[in-house]
Amino acid sequence: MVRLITHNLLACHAKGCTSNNFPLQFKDIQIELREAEFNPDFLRGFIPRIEWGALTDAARQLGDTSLPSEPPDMLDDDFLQKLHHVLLEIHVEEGAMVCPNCGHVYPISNGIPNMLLAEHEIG
Amino acid sequence: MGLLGKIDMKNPEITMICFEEYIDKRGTTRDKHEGDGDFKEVFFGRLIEEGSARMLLKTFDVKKRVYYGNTSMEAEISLLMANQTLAAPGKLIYDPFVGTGSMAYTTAHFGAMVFGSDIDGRQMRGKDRQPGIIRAASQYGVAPRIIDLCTFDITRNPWRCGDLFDAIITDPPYGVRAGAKRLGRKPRLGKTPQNVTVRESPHPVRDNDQPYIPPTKPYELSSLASDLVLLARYMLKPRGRLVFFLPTVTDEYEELDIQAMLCEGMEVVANSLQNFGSWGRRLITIRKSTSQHYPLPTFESAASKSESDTHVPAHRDFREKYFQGFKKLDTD
Repeated sequence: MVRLITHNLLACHAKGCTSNNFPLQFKDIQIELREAEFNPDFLRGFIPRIEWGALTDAARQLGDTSLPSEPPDMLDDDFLQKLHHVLLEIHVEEGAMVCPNCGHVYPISNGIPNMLLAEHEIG
Repeated sequence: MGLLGKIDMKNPEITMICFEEYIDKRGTTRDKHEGDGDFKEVFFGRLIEEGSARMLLKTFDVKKRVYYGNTSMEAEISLLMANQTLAAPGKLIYDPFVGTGSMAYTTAHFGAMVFGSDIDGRQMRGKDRQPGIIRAASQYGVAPRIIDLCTFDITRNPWRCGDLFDAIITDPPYGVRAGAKRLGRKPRLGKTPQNVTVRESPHPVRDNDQPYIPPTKPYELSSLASDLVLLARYMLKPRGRLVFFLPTVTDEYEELDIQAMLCEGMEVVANSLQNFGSWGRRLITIRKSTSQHYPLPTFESAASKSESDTHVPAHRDFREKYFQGFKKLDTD
């Protein structure tokens, strides 16, 4: 759990933290690889939502360098397979995500990230 | 009929069925031992095919599920809800009050990818190392379709952008068995806020292995419901659907209760009642009818708006009404 698809959609939301609050940085993580079913239509539909730079950086940090630095114009099966693996098959099980701006630490335990804010961090 | 095959009652090759129809006398005045109504007609036929969904009631039976809680939704209703979302392969669906995941399994069964979040992580996790929702999803063979589970409050959510989901499916807490909560602190009586803040530093000292639990305050049902519609307008793709249950008081319900909850760009597709007598719950399906982008709701405007609004929906303060047994308060 905490797949890179999720990592690509979560930003720090502490009070006043509105710039440079994405992507969150992984810290002290343990990863697991688990197979997921390949659905090219889902991936094609999701590509416009992806922050590409954040995805490739996170993938590199987790040791996967298969994605190009820019999304290609031609979405062939080979590319979609790689994207599928990066988005859906790498699971961060333990560790934390840290906001690059305010330094808030969002801990991940048993694959579930705790994104709750403390009392002084809500508006 | 010339049926010459071997007789086998356990694994018959063909199944013949006989139905008798009687006048329905439920709800009418009748004698104590008067049974069914008058016989009308009889139907006889051969079973050609069973429906594809009927057997799913057994598959998703909560009693046979490896992980469930006291607020888990029964199989039949979870399946009906999944149907209302038009769950299908390639779709992305979100449950913002996922709890023990009842609707995640059925939507994933129909092929959709599911995200879940909840303000209380304990419901999603259970007591084992592997989260309970993942264990139950594995039982149904849909664990890879549960994309992720996150702990957060929808009124303070970390979603980077909107227009993400094909559907939002949820059974919001009504405040009867599970109380709705949001981050914040309950207003205290008697003490002035200053007296409280002096004694509590914003960074309370605690052991490293003790996770910090932020304070929560109750979330009143009618503001939760209108916030949910606003959140759905932000988070759904155009033509995406919001499917949720709303409990209401039977005698006080008006069509206007639902209409007053809507906002620009959202329209009701279906509204069906499950009647429990003095109260009931309505399965509401709302569609995003616009392709316009809307900002993230503030989760404050709805509450203040409903204060000044003249229309009071029947689901306002549902918790209080439920525990008072839905008795009308005497005004004189």
